Amino acid sequence: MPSLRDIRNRITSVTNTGKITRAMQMISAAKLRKAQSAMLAARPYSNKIFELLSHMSSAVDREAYPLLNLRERKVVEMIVLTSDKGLCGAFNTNVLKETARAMRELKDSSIQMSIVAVGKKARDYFHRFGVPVRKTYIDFYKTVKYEDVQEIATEIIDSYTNGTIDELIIIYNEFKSVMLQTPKRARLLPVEPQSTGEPDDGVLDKFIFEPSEAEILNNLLPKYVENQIFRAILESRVSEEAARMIAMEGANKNTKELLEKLTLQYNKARQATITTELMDIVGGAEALSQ
Amino acid sequence: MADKLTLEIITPEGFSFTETVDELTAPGTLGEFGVLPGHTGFMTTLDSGPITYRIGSTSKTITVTSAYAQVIDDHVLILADSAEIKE
Repeated sequence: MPSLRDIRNRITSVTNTGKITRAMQMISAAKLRKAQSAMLAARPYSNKIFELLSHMSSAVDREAYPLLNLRERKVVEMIVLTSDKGLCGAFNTNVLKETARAMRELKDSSIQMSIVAVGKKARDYFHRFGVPVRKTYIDFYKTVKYEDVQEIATEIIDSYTNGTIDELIIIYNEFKSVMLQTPKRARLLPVEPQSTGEPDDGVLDKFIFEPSEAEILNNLLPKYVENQIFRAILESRVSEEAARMIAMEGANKNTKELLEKLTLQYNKARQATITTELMDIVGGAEALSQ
Repeated sequence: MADKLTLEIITPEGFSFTETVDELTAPGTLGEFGVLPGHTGFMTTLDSGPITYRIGSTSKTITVTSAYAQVIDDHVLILADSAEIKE
């Protein structure tokens, strides 16, 4: 049976934890809104560049463009997007589990892999299991700048064009809703030409391309990949804050329940002490009066 | 034929600008070019530099970095890495 003081200490500590989780929930909610609006703001550009690309790439000869060309998979590069901070439920675990699955698959078909870890959690994970990481990026989540993403993308695209890697996949948390984020594995390189689904209206035939269509496409493809990475990072950030918000909401509920239970226990213990004291006094008085 | 152009500039970080203009010039990679209403379908890459557009008799400038320009049916769409309105 814990003493009164023990229970009182626990109540204080649980109350303090509750304060922290409540604050974190509110911060996450604010950050979530901000991240969400950044994600929405990036959408028009993404859609347009996708549209342009699908218009231009649907009819071309894939062999002629290094970024469209399907090569034999010898080395596969994986970008793994995690968060820098924890306390966000299964957010990182999900991504890392998916990564482990991807790694197993590659190992089974004896394909080499190289890893780009984004976020402290990914770095620590690979470090713990002794997996060599080619490159690590941490601490740029606070404000996702397009230039920073460009830097990452350019470096990776370069190693793709000079043949160091043959395929690029990205693993991140896809934001479905505030309640649901699912890990997603997407192939970025080689680029899969998309058809718009609409019949070719011949608009492009009358187009003037300056410089040539091929040159523009060669220029557009890396930009598209860059944009895909940017989008994944934004989405991962929204997912992170959503996951944290939900996790903290759960923590808040738990502290509340725990506090109720502890208060009850405390009151019971107090009552018990009072009863014992009373019995002592009554017993003592009776003994004196005899 | 419409006698105005729609100029639309968007960037991945959410900058978005739409304006109805009479004329514009942009820094193409193969040299600066101008667009007037009735321009034919056109697609090009842009260098970093100023895009100048004219409404009536006032000219304004927006600076963009590494961009694409697409002209379809008097609609000029510019996809830029970044853009800034010059006061």
